[in-house]
Amino acid sequence: MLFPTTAFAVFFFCVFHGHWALARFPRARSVFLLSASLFFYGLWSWKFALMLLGSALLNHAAACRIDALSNNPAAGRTRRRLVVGVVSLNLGLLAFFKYTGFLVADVLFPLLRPLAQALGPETVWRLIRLQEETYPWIATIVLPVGISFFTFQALSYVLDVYRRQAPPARSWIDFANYLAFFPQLVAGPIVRAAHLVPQMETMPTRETTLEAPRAMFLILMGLLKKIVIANWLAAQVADPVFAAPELYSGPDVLIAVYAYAVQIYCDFSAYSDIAIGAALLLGFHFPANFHAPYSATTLQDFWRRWHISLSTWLRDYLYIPLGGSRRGGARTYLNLLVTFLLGGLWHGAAWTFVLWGAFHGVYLALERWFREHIRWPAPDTPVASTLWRWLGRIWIFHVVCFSWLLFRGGNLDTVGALLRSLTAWTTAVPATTLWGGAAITLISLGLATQILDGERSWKLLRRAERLPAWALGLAGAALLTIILALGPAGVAPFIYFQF
Amino acid sequence: MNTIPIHHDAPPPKRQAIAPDPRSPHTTLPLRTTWRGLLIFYVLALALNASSLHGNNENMPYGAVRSFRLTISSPIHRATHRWQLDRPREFLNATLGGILNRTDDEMDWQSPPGAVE
Repeated sequence: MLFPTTAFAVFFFCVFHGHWALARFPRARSVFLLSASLFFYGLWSWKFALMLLGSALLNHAAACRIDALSNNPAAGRTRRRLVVGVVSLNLGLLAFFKYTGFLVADVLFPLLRPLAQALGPETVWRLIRLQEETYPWIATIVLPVGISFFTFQALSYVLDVYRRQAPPARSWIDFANYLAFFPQLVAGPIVRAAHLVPQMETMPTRETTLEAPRAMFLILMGLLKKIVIANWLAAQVADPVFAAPELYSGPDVLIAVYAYAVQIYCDFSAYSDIAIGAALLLGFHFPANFHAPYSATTLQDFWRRWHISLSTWLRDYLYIPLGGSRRGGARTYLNLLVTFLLGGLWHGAAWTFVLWGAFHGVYLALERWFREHIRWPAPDTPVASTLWRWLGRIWIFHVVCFSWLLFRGGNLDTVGALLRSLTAWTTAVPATTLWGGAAITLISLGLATQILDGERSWKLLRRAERLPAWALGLAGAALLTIILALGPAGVAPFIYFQF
Repeated sequence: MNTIPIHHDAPPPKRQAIAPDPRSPHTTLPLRTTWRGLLIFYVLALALNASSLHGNNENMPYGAVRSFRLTISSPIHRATHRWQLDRPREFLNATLGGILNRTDDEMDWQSPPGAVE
């Protein structure tokens, strides 16, 4: 069930009423919310909904056991074994569904081919037969939607309990509600257990005041970004160029890369906005996931603004346990590289994602080295300071755009073709160009929507507080009609669904 | 990147419900007002977009889902059409949406100068 569809609107309407109607019956309400989340997920696959439920039971049982052992000083090794076991199981499940195809088809067989050739034609023949038997089996492995997100949420819960930073949930239903909560189940934000589990335990009451204007604003902004900007830029500019880059000239490839940069921001931040807005209407608070990422002046700054819930997760559960910046320069650079390599692999099972992660890791390490070893003269006038900041923004935007080539390319051949076309000034189809008024307007509009990320929209919303309910409803319905009229026909799935 | 303190000997922290950000400008509404606003939003959004919704349902593949959806959307579409509530959406589709989502077939193609026809 996709957010910008009638089915979701009807589903959310029912959940909203059921959730608040059961406010006086907390247990029934928790069960209702969990059932709604499982129904939402079960529309994709009931088998995976049951797997999600199993994951909730297993992780909660393990967390309770780890917590019970925490008062026994002699049980340190058992606790450690238990946490290693649970983490391995979670990662094993993720690896099976997400990386089996990549590891077998892109890593194992390419390594075995030269070996088989060296051993003779009989071995080559056996390898071919093995491939013929394996590929159809790999094709049957279906990736459960959102598995990367709920696996990371489950890991954060178990690790927080192990580190004694949070107690286990009071009941498995509260934990299952945290893990399967439908607004953020499929594509984040990756909400930490310490943030959402207490909210699931206490549940908002009928006396709770809701941030309804902000929720409506986020949902409508999300729909605008997804339906109008992201879908149009994908269909009209980015997708055709990335599908056949050799047909396009350098300027067209350049605008396609800009379009993709805006598309992925509008697509993913739209999902986060709608998730945060829907949760707010149910009385739950999620942390922000984006904060004007393309206004970053360094790549480190970019990662503090882009997919914040993932970057902070990687920081707290990977970078810092690896030693962070506490073990000297070389180790810090290595930790950054490892963190971003694995962060790249988290996004998808392909060499292009590994390269994308490596690019960010290496760039961040270089940026850190420059910051520590080279002292740039600070701009001494306000004009120079502004100019310097804008130069930084433009440079980082292009660095990130270059990395999107790897991210979107899909395979190394396409990335190579894109880079070749980027320097070509002739096109296979003369007298046509993608540099149209609509493309430039929507790219600019997409970049401008960043202004409303985070606290910047609060001033605007303060005015909405004074509006009566009917005016809010009317304004919302009018804006939705404009958004739907502007958007192309059909609903494209969100980019981050595939991760 | 900041480090977070890990105290292995400290007792587990107590649960605290997450309150809304205190710096937020308190754009909060009571549940009743929110419910009223949401209901008005749903009713008006449905009324203004009923014709488009009905059109989408008609374009669905034949089957039980299509029939079910059409059973619901047909009377709403008829009512909104009678009261001319579908006019704003039609106007927006024809102006803003029409300009933005023109397909290649609908464009007024002109051959470049010097092209052989």
